[in-house]
Amino acid sequence: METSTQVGLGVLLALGISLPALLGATSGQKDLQVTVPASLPFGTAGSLTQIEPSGLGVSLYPHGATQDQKFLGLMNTGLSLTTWQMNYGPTYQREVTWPVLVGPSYKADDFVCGYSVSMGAGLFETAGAGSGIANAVERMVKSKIHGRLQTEESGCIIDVPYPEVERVSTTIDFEEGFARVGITIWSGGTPWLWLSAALEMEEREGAIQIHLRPGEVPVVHLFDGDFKNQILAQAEQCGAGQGGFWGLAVGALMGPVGAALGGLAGADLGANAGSGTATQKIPLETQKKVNDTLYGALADLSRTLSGMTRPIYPLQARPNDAFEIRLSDAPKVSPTGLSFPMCLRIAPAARTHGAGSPSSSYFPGLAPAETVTTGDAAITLSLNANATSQILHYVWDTGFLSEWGKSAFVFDALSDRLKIAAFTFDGVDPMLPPTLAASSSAGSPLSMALGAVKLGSMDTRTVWGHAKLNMDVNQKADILELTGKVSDLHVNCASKVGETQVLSPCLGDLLPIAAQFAQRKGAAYSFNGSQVLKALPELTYGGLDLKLSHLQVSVTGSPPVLAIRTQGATE
Amino acid sequence: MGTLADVQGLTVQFPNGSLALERVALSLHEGKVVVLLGPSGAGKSTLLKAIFAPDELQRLGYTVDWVERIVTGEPAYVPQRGALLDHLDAADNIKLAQAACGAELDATAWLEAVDLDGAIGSAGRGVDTLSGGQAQRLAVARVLAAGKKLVVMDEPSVGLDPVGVRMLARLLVTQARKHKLGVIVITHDISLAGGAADEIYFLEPNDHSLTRIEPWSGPTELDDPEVRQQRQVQLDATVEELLLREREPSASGKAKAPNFGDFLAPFRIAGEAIRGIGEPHLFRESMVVLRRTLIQSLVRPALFYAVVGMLLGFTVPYVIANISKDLEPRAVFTLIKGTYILSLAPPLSAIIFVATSGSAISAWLGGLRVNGQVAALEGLGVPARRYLWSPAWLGLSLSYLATFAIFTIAMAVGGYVLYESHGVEHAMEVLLTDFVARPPERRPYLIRALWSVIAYKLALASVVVAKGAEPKSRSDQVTAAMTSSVMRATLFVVITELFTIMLLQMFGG
Repeated sequence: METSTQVGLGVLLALGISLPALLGATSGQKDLQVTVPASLPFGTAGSLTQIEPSGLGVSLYPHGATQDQKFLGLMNTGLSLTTWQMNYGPTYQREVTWPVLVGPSYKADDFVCGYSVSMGAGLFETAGAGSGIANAVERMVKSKIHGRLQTEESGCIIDVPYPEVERVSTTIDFEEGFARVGITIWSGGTPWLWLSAALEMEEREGAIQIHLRPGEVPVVHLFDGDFKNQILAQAEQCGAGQGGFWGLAVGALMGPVGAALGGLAGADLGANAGSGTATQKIPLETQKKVNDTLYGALADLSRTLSGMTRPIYPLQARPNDAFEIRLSDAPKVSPTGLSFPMCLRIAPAARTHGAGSPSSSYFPGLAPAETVTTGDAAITLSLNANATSQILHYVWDTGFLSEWGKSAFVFDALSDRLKIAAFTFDGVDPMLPPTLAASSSAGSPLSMALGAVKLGSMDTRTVWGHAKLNMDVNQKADILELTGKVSDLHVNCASKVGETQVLSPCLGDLLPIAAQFAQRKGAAYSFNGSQVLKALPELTYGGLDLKLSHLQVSVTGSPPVLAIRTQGATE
Repeated sequence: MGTLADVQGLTVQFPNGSLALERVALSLHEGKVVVLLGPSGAGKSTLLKAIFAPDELQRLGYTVDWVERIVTGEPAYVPQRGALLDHLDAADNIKLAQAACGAELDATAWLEAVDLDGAIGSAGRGVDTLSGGQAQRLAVARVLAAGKKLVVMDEPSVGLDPVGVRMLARLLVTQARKHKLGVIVITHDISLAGGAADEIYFLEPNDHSLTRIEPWSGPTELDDPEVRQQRQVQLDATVEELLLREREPSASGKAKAPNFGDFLAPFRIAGEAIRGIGEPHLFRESMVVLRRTLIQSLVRPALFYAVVGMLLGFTVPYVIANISKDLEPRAVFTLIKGTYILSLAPPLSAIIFVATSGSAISAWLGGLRVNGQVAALEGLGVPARRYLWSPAWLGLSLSYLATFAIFTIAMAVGGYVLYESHGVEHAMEVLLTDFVARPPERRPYLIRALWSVIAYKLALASVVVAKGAEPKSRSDQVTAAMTSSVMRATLFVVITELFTIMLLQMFGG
């Protein structure tokens, strides 16, 4: 063979060998990698910003990786992401992220005082949405005022049949700091009794206390008619003074009427009534009887209201999870309605993430949610950031979020979109509680930071995601649309190697696209407000049914206040 | 009177064993002109190869035996019409011959020696402007300038008028005498044969023998006109009688034996080219071929490559991005980045290059073969390996590298237009990120691409030059070689793509 041919074949041979050699030399090259002791789970290690001297046994390769600490929390509390990045041009981003929860947090069973319930004055408009209240008062009046009025004073017996209570009309008017209640009892198409009282509300041991407005006595007026004339006639036969009979009659009336009224006012009303107008001409024994009757009725009401601080178990799905509410301050009464600042303690019976799992984030110095009543028949539940954080934590801690993240709704929707990615999608399962984050998106007032979200597996590694979810609520008639746009998306893989956990980049090619488009095209979830309200358990209290309609959800301000508003009506 | 070549008892058999020549004897002496006559296909070319390059025939499967063989040097071969190099001007044709033998580079004296006007040697005077007679004279001048003593001329009178034939005959005789040349002329032209020959041989196709025509008293151009005419008539009659003898069917049986040299030719060419690159001999002259190759294979089609690259750079991602309405084109662009350029530029540029530039160079080299220019070069002592194959190979290699660069840049420009129009941020950076900034797992792909470019550069140049350099006697062999080089190079590209993908799989790419 000629020398030239040998040279040519030699070149071919060298060329043929060189490629496997070159590929072999480069195939083992490591990309970005962070090694963490396996005993250091996500979120619990404190900041790893100073990775070398951290003393936590954490190592980083290569040293040229840039580091970015992204604080996604609200008011410096919540989720902090430490991301190590290697950027190869604008599109190849290789990164691993270590999520950490920072800042103060509530214990799981602490009261969180960030709730407010308001009821517009319209709800007490007895000719409209408050008709149920008027009906309830009428039922109570009828239950007390029937049969005969029988009383004895100094050997004189008064025994007069009550007129048939044909109708009771009630008015409730709110003024600054108090409510004025008026009750008129009708018979034969004419009123025969009218009374009026001014009531105030205050907080006592977390419950509502109702009492007469100091300095204002109840006003009672007995109209002319048979009932009045019969009382006066019997009293005259007994030789009693006309004025004394007036007092006797009114005092005797105040027992049943006070009980009826107690459902709206309080125990003090009866006492004050007994010692007010009625007592001026009523002998002592009669007065005492009337007061006993009134106090008894108001004591029942007081016990009922103090019971509001007892735990309730409202969730059928988790019947052993206790919810306790209490007032954090005195209720506010204004011409437009009532509002109650409240605290809530949630004690789940079982915790999915274990007793040592992180608590909900706490934002110090945050004012309770303020709700402005507008005078209509609206009921509004407002949650400030602490309250929202508590609910989010509960939803996470009890596994609701995991269940939802693995539900057909999420799984089907996302797995379809993620088919092109080379990993097995198992659903969305956050290992850290969602925390509220500073909003980074215009028009998205509610932002949540989600850290250590388990997404699935890729080869032998687990895929973790960390992101901010910017929520927006849009209302079109009765349809509520929740739009979630993802921002600050970070994804990496982790695998356990011996006693260490190795964090390595994955899905880095898809990440910029996913982040870009998740931010642009949010996932929308629409639901019908009426159907949601229908799904709620029936709200019945003392025979009073509360019907809700026109569900509205809004988020305002920063820190955000979540307001859930419905129109209410009593039946 | 020295002997320049002498062969006795020469017998040649075709690869299939049939006889081509049997016990042939031929001598060539200084200052003499020998003419070989014979019908077409009688084996005149085979005879000359058997005398001067028997190993070449043996390599092709012939059997060549002789009783005695003396050859004092490499003969200068002058094909039909002089086989002048048309990429050189007239003077440079002579200077190339002078450079080959190390003589001083001066064409004027040799032009005068063959009675050519000195103006022909002016710079830039192309050989295509010469008449047939002038071209033959220039060819003779080139042989003389090369200092060759042995000259073989193949049909030198083709295209010449009767006067031109006589002038050529006289030139051959006078130059042979003057420079003590031994000239062998293969011709069908009885006028040239009689006018120039000291000895005339007739190659007999029936018994494969070589018959000397006797009596013969030397060139008729040295005779008086009357005698010359009379002798020419006699020669005509003799040759006619020889030609009219009943012929046996040709038993040439030039069936081609399996020839592994053809398979190894690209490797030989590559090896020769690589070895020749560093040789100082004929370096400056070979730069002419290198420049011509670069012009033909790169400069002329450069715009074409740029346009094709740009269109592909635009359309390929466009088509990919529109495979589904469910995909945002911008997302697809961001995902595929410039990977399609890295993957497609080497093979596509290679295939388009071999089909365009490769074919052009293959045709050019093949034309040099068919026209006998290569043989003429060799005869002048200018090794085709050094003067043609090596610079052509080097030129093609460089052209392909440049073509790849043009193609890649053009694809990036096409992609940039598309990406920009769809709002991809940092569009050019995105397109070039696989080349300039890549994560470790993408490095094998860049290595593969660059390796492929090197492999294609070597392969394309070697295949094209090897096919172009193959011996050819017909013009259709030129086109066949072009087609063959395109097919071989394309197959090489496709197989290499597959091979490299398998390697990537093996190494986890």
